[in-house]
Amino acid sequence: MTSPTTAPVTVSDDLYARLQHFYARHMQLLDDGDATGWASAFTDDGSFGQDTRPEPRRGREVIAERMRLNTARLAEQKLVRRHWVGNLTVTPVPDGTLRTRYYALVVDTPPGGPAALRLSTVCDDVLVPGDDGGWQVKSRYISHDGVG
Amino acid sequence: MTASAEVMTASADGLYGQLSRFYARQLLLIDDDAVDECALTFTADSVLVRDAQPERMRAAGATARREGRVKIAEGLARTVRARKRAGITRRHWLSDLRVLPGPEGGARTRFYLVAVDTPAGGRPAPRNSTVVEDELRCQDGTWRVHRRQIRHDDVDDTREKAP
Repeated sequence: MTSPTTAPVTVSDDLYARLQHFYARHMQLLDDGDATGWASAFTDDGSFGQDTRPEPRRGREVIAERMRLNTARLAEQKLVRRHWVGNLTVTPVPDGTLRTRYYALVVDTPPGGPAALRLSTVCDDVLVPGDDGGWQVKSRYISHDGVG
Repeated sequence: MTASAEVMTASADGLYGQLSRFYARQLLLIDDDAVDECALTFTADSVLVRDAQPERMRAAGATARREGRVKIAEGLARTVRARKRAGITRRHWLSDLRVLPGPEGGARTRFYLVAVDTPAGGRPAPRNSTVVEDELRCQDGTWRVHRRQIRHDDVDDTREKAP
């Protein structure tokens, strides 16, 4: 077998597992209604964009505030929302950042059920090293399937 | 525990990868009707607790709490029989796995679990959405669930704070 001319750039098993875990914790905080804890994964100047909105939200505080409104609305509607992360891919960039691309499936359950798929999305993140050996989200762009 | 501390601790010694593989096997076993083998993924003195809707539990002949591998195996067998009678193929999908070190060299996990049911000739649909919290023990080099708590999203007020 000949080697591919452009071998895929990849990361270690250990880093990959850490990032899977990072996203699991990140999404569980959000789904538990802790929008502030969820937003702490973003850098101070982090951005959060979606193809359903013209302008990204900029800054951790702005991102946190908008998400607090979202979680409050869900709680009012008594909807339980789960963000399912799948197919995580990680690409290291020479400047020390990581690009991740993954699917996020949104599953909503009203009291008494049934659970239903609400959204299928693809997320593109830029992660930068944090002060404590972890990673922070510098930017996130969410593309919704069926839009655009 | 800070985000980084949680994430770094669990990635040590490949624990995260080990438990990812453990769950993939456990869920394949139950979906493949391998009840006895699946029961062996629980410790002999394990406990299974869940909070499903009372009417659904009664309909399924299920109980909120099962103690011991023998009782858990009975519950698994009952579920498998009911699903086969209904002509349903069930696939358990796990996502968003978190891992924390537990007491005595064990581990604690919290993850999402959805059963996707497909009736014969029909379309697949999620049966329910749940959050599972496990305490695991490593016995003879094999991970086993010692305590499992299943919370169903369709039960009112199921939101629980993260560990």
